[in-house]
Amino acid sequence: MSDLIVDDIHMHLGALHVLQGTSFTAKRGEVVALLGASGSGKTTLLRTVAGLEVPGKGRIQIAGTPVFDHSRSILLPPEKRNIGLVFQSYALWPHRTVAENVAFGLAIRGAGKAETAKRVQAMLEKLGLGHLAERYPFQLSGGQQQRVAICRALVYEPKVILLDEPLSNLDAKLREEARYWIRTLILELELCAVMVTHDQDEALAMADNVLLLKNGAIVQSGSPLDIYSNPKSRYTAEFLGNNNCIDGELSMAGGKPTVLGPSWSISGVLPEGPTVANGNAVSAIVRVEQTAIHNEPGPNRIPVNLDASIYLGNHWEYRLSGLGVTLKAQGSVRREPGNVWCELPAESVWIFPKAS
Amino acid sequence: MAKTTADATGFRLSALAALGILVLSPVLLILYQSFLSGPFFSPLSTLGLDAYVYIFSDPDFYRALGTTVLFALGTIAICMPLGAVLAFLVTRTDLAGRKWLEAVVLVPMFLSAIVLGFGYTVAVGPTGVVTLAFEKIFGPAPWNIYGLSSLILISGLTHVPHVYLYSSAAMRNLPGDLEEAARTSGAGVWTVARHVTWPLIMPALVFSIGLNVMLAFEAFGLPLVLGDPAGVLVLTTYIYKLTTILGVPSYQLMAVVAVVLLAIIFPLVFIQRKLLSRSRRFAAIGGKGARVTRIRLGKSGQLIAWLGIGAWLTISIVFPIGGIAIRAFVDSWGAGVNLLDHLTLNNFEQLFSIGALQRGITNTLLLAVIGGALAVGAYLIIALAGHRWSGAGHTALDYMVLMPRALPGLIIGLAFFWIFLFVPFLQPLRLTLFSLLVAYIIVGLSYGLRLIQATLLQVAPELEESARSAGATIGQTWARIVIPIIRPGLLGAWTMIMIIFLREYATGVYLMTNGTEVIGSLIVSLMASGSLDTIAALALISVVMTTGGLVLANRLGGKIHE
Amino acid sequence: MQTLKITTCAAAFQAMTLAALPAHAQQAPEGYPADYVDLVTAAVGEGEVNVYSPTDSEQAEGLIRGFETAFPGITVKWNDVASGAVYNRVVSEAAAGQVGSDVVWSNGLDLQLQLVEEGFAEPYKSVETAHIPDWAQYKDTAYSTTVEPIVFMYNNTVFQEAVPKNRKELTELMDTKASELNGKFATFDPEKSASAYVVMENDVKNDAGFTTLVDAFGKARGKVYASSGQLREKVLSGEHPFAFNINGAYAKGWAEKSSNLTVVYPEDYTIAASRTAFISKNAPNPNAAKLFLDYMLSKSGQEAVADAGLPSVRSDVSTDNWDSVNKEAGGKLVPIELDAALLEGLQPAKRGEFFRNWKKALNQ
Repeated sequence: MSDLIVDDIHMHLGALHVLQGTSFTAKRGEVVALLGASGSGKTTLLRTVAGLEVPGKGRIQIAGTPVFDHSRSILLPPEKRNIGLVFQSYALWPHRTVAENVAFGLAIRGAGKAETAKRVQAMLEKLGLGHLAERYPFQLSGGQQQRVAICRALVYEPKVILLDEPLSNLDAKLREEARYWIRTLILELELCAVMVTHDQDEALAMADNVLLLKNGAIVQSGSPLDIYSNPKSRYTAEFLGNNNCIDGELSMAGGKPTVLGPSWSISGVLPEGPTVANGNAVSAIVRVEQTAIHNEPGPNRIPVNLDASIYLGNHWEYRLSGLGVTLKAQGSVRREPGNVWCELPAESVWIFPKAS
Repeated sequence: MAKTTADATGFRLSALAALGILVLSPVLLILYQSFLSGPFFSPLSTLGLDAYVYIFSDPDFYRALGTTVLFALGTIAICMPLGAVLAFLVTRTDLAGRKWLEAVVLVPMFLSAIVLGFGYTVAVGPTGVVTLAFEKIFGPAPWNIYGLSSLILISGLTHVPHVYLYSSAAMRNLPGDLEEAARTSGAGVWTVARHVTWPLIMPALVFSIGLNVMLAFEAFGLPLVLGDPAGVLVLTTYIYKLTTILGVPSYQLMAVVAVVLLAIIFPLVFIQRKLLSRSRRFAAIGGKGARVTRIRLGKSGQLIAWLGIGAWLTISIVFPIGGIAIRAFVDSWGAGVNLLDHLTLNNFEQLFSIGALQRGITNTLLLAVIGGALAVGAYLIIALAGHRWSGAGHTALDYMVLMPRALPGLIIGLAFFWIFLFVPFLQPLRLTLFSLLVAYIIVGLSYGLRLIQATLLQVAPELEESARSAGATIGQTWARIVIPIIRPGLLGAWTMIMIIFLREYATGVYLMTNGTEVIGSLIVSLMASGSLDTIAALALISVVMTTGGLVLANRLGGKIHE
Repeated sequence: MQTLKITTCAAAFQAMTLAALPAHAQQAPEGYPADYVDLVTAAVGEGEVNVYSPTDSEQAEGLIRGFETAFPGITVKWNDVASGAVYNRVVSEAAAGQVGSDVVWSNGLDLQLQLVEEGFAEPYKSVETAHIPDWAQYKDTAYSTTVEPIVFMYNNTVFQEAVPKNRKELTELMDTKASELNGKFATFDPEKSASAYVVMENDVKNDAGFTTLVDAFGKARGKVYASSGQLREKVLSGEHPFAFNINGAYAKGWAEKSSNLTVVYPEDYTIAASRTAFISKNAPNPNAAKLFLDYMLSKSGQEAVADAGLPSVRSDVSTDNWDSVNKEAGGKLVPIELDAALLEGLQPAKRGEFFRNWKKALNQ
């Protein structure tokens, strides 16, 4: 059974249709990531689940209880939804200590003093904050504040936990740590988690199910592996990963979809979904990590000039330019500028209509 | 299952309705009175426009109206820029002595305007202490405190605290990075203030303009003391004349002028709302408090700032308070008098021989301290009701906030006297301090509510949302999260309301009765029997006590804030 | 102030020795009718008496204490009602059926009579009427209780001219030295103060040349003020070193405190203003009200008020009184009589005419 059902949510802000019939489900022990650029409606969607925004149409059900159903005029306020919410800014109450911040949800639910103290302490210790209970939020580091915010949202064991860009205020090192322990914690506690992020790495690393949003609608959803390696639209393909994109004309000669450029041709695959016909303007998209440099010509290779090699620590990035194309590729050694051939493996080249 | 009350709509509507009753009942009573030929309670009174015809065909009315408009515009033109600059210097720069200044800035608000005006007479009037000393050294003094231009200047300067208070409250919580961004892009102090700080606190500034326009329209004390001798007639002194012009008190005529004053509200609030419609949002403090980094003024900056502040302090504090202080310790003053020969403590002795003084002091303190707290509680409820609430209710609130400010205190007092007299279930309360408290709450509404609203808006929305999602109802969220966070702001509002209630005198004139005397009433009767020496002693004590109380509150408030 | 306290105590003591015994024994005070005892008993039963008055409780303290000592068991509740608010308060409370006053005592003589005429006062022939002059009585209902001479006052260090002793000299001075003494004269503003209007109305009645005085005052650019407080300070400081139509009952006290103030009783005539009291219709404590009114008019009540600076209308008292004030005024004291003329002055038409002339004179 799904612990969270979001069904056909529509919402308008003035004339703007910010959510256009969005649906998804989530269940215990699963992390759903709402991924999208800013303005895609991902945060709004999360806030409708929390009850902080009221959609114009649709249905939301948490742990079997309808919390919003437009057709039945049901609208539960946030406090009746039994959720935990972690804000991007953490939203810790400045006038309460760490322990008081965390205890709030329990106190509201009428838990006894001793019981509350016990559970708060246990929660804090679980996240390594046991010694900070009496501090005030402004006395904590960013990472500590974030953990307090998570403690506060989890301590009363909500059915669903919602995380709004939980990692964006952390520095790079802490962020990578946090991805891991938050996911572990969610799985361990068997929570049903929905997370909003604009960072694809975060989504891929943490989620079991990634929902990519664009203009208030879900473009594609699936497991991280699936969504990364089987994009069904140019938007998905380009949003995720580091990509090369070259424009040309589609040729279906020989049953093999091929993109024709001024002095080159690259064959690839046509993903299911968009339909293109012979002679259409198309784009070939390929992940940078799939692109390779060779010193001699070959199938699916484009002659290019290597303009520069950029050192990125664990690898080199090559900047390439050819007739009507600019490309990137990676390698483990520094290369001198000069004429090279760039190979785009046919099975990794997705061909999408150019206009989209 | 029906739609839930996610927004506490019931609470909001009832609070708004309660406010509506409190504000509109005196307003509607006065409106009704203006259309009658006599007192509303007299069976002989008939409906008609006679009172309007009388007022609108009286050339004195137009003269008073014109002068009042000039007076209001002039006051604004002086107090707005000065107040905004002062607030900027105190809250955003490293101005030397700003802590000390903060405690002193509000002093002109401690005294009722009539006493303040008297202080000016003693200091810089034609036979004032400063004037005489000046004339001894330099010859005829080039100033004359009577007349419209002096009235505007003094009113403008003494209203600076009103602007300062609202602007500084808004500036204090402004994140410093916005200004730093401007500084690093090469802007000087002045440019930062003009292009960054002030636009960011526009709502507070626009509200200050509205409030001060209303204050100027209902000002009575200063025009009476400084305008009247030169024949400067404003609407309030015009009302004063109306009371005797027809023999028996002619409430309908006073009511018409009050209606004219009320009518000014509507275009004013309308413009205010237009101006703010785009910049409605205040800068908010988030979950992590923003540290204010002060802008360095530099040596010459400090000097220029202090020259200006010094001039302002001299004119708006040293002169009037000094004048009052001198009068409190002498039995004679003015031309041909050596003050040292006339030093006395009699004025204070006399003060303590007044029997009703003790009762007056007790009642005034009760009203100011406990009543002030109750008033702040009431304003808080109203502010919460309007908090993050859009729509017609909010519009109504904007208008109602300024409405009581349009009515002179005397008229509000009169209206409430009638309400408590004629509304059956209120009758038993009339002879208690409660009736005074209700009138005072209305009088203080514009000041107090606005301060609390501004503080509320500075609480970042996610602090409330996180409480809601953790399971707290909107009521619990307000009680446990919002109110504790804005406690410093509430303390500030309380201090402010105490100051206003301590100095209020006109409101009580009609409402007061045996057992509910307030200090303001003593001043009115002392004025009538000529004892300005006693008034000066009383006023001086009150200034010293209020300043002391404020310093103490600052210390306490500061400690609580830490 | 010290002297005032002592005299007040003395008055209270006197009142005690005179009245305490009879009250305790529930006997009528000396010289009162025998059935007065019933009134006292009924009044004590009521237990309190409410007085509305602009006279501040400081000045009324002797009166209050004297009464409470003479009639133990009755508390005086003093309501400090501003002069302009007395009429409104009485009329409004009556209309609401919430009469709170037993006795109303105000210096707004015209409005007091207006209240009597409109039926807001309860007729009561005081047992003291024999000792009260006729001019101070109105229809056995309202009684004037004080003698407050209306005088000139000047600043003797600043005012260097020959001091005018009467209105004619004052008029001449203001007229001939109008530019030299520009802005040096002041008076009470009849437009803002009802009692100042009443005084000027009497001036017009008593002095055919008063309009020329007003003209001269206007010519000399005289200033007008709405309260005794402002006037006192203006003369004291020498800003306007000379003022006329000042309440002498106050001015005498000011001159005692400040040596540079001198009071002049105009020798042509000196108006005596007053404060008038009556019992309210439907008074909550009608018997105590009668008792208090009688006490106000009685010898000890009058002496108590006179000790606080407001001379008595009676001639048989040991304190300042009509005779002593009249003597100071060179026998030219003219009372404001409680009569129909006062009521005429309330007619809008008459006032309108007066104010038109007044403003014309002032704005020349």
